[in-house]
Amino acid sequence: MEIPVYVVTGSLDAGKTTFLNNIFENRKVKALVIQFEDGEEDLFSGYTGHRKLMIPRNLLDQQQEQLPGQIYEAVQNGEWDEIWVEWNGTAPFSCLLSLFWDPVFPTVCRLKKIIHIADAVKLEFLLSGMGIYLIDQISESDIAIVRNCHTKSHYQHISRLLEGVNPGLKILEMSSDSKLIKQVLRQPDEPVCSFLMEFMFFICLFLLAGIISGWEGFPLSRMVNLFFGMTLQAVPFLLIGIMLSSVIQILIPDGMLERWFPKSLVWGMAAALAGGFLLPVCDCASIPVFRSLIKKGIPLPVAVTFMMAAPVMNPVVLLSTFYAFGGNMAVVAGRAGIGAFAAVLIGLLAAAFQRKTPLLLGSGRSRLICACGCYEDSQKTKSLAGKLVLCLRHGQAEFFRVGKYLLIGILAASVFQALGNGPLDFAQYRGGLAASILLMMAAAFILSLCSSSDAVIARSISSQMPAGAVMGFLVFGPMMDIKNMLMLSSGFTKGFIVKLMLVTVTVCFFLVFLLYGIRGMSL
Amino acid sequence: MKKTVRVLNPQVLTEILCQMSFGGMIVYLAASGAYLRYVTPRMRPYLYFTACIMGLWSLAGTGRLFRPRYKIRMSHCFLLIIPVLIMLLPHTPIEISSYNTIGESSKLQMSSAKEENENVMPGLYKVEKKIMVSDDLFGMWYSELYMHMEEYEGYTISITGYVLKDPKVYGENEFAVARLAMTCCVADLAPAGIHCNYRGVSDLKEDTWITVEGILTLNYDDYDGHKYADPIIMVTKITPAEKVEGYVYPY
Repeated sequence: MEIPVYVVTGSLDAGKTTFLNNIFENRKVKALVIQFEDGEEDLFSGYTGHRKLMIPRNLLDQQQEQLPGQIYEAVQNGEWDEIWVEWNGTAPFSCLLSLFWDPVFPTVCRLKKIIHIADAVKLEFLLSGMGIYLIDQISESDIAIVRNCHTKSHYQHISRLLEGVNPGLKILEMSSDSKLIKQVLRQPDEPVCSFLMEFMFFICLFLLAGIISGWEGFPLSRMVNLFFGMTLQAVPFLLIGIMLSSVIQILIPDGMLERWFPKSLVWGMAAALAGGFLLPVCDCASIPVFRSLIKKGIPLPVAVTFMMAAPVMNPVVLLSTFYAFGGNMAVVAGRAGIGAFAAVLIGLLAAAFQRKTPLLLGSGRSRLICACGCYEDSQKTKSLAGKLVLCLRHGQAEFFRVGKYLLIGILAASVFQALGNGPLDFAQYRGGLAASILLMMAAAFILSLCSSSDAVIARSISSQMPAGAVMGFLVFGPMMDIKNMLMLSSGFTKGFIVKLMLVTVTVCFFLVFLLYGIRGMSL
Repeated sequence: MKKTVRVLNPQVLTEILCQMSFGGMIVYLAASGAYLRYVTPRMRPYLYFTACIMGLWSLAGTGRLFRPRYKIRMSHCFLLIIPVLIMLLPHTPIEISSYNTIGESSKLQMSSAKEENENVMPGLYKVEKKIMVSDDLFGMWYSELYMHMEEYEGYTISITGYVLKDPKVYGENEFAVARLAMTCCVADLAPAGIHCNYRGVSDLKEDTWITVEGILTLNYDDYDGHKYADPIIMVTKITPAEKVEGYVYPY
C-alpha cells in the first residue's frame, strides 16, 4: 500500500512545527516526520510511533543524490501510516519535488497534499523580499493556513495576496481544533480526473447543441457565426497586447519606466495621450498593456488615461471613422477630441476615487508576483534568449488568464446579438437626446464591437439617431463594453472596476450631452 | 544512484495538445479561405500570427514536459477547447433574410478599395461607357461608385445582387440591389446596396437574386450639411440570377 505523504511548507518561524504538533496531539498515528531544517520548536514526540528524520541543510545542498536512498531506507524501516515532510523556504521547492519524483518512491508512498503555513504579519514583507521560493511554495500548495490574523480585514487582505499567487488555493485560519485537521486531511481531487469529467460535460453540451440546432427558429447557426467572427477578430489583437505587455514586464527593468516617465501630472497625461495616439491597439490589446503599466509603477491616472484613450484615438480607428463617415472631418475630430478629453477626465476621477484601496488583485507591494509560474526561472535567466522564452511563457499564462474572460464576454455578446434582429435593432427608438445617448451607450456596451469597426455601424444608424447619440456610441464603446469589463476583472478588484465603470459612463454621457445638447453642435 | 526521472506532466501535455489543435484550426481556416465567413481578408496575417504564437508556446512547452510539478491545473485549457468544439457545431453562413428589414444601407460609405484612380477598374469599358461588375468585385465597385460617382454618370452598368426593399427608406419605384458587406467581422454584417429605380418593383420578390442592367444617374443627397453624390441605377432590364455565395468586403 502506498503511504500518504503530506508536505508542510512555510518560511522560517511561520509555525510549521507548531502545526505538526497540533496534528499529532489529536491523532494517534504512526508517522515518519522528515524535517529539512532545524525549527526552533522541537518536534513534539511524546507518543511512540513517531520518528523524526532530520536532514540538515548542507546535505541537501551538497549530497542531493544520496537523499532519496536515505529517505527510502527510513521509510522502509517501519510501518508508517503517514509521512510528513517539513520544508522551509530557503531552497527551491522543485528540489523536494524531484526527490519525490525519484523512481524508488512511487511504489511505496504517494504525495498527497501540500500545506502552506503563512504568518499573516510577515507574509507581505516576505513576498516582496525573498519572493521566489515562497511564491513557488504557495503556488504548489493545496491548502494555506494563515496564522496571526486578528482582524477580518487583515485576513481578507492576506487571502487576496495568497489567491493572487495561487488562484485555486484553499485558505483556512489556523486553529487547534480538530475541524481544521479534518479539512487538511480530506481526500484531494484528482486534477486529471476532474479535467476529464469537465471535458465530458462539454462534449455533452456539444451534442445537446447539435440536437438543438435542428430546431426551427433557434438561431444557433447565427450564434456560432457571431462567436467566430468576434473570436477570430479579438484573439489576434489580444495576443498582440499580451506579448507587448509581457515585453514591458520582463525586458524593461523595474524602475526604469518610472525613472524615465515625466514626473508632473500634466506631462504624464500628455505622454499617455501621445502613447494612445501612437499605438495602433484596439481595446482588446490595451487592457493587458494597462495592467503591465500599473505593475511597472506608472501612476494610476496616467495609466487609466492611456487605457481609455488608446482604443478611441489611435490612427487605425480614426482612419476607419474617416472612411465610414465619408470624409466628414467633424466626426473624426469630435471622436478624437471628446475621446481624449474624456480619457483625461476619467483618469483623474478614477484616481481620485481610488486613493487607498488596492486595485490589482493579489499584487500587494511586490511587482514580481504573478500567478504564471514564470518565477521559477526568472532569477536564473539573465541572457536575452532566456528572457525571450520567459516572455513567451508569461504571455501564455496571461493569455489563459485574460482569455477566459474574453471568451465569456464574446459568448454573452454573441447570444445577445443573435437573439436580436441584427446589430441595428435599437436604432428604431425615437426619443430625447439624453435618452438616445444613454441608449446608444448601452448598445455599444452590449455589442462589444472592436473599436476599428464600430464607426461603420455608427454611420449606418446616424440618420436615425441624433448626432450626439452617435458620438456617445463612438466614444464610450471602445472604452467600456462587456468584454472589456470581464477582461479587467481578471486582474483588478471589483471595487476598482465598478468605480471605473461609473466614472466612464458619467464622464462620457455628460461630455457628449453638454457638447451636443446645449451648443447644438451638428454632426 | 542518480537516475533521470521521466514523469509526464499532464498539464503541459494538455496545454500543448490544445494549442496545437487551436493553432491547427486557425491555420486551416486561414489557408482554406473559410475564415472569410467570419472576418475580412485583412485578418489573414493576424491569423497566421496567432497560429505562430500557438506553435511557439507548444514548442516552449516541450521543454517542461518532464519537469516535475505537483500542482496540476488543467481547466484553463478549455479556453482553447471550447472554440474548437463550437467550430465543429453545424452552422451555415448568415442568410440575407436576417437583414432585410434594416434600412439605410445605401448610406454606408466606404473608402475606395483601389486608391490609385489612374488604374483602370476591372470591368470598365470606357469607350462603350459600360461597367460589367463581376461577383467578386461587387465591393470594390460599390466603394468606387460612392466615392467617385461623378466619373461614371451615364454609364450602363450590369450588377448582380439580391432585392432589398425597405418601405421606410425607398420610394414607390425604388429598391436596392444589395449584398451583405462585412467591415470587420461577421458581427457587423450589413447590406450594402446600390439604389435602383424601376417601375415594376412590386413584381420583384424580396431576397431573390437578380442581375440589374441600367443607366447610372447622379443623385445629390444633402445630408447634415455634407453633400454626397449618390448613384442611382435607372433600370432597363432585370434577369434572374444564381445566388452568390460569400460576403462583400468593401474596405
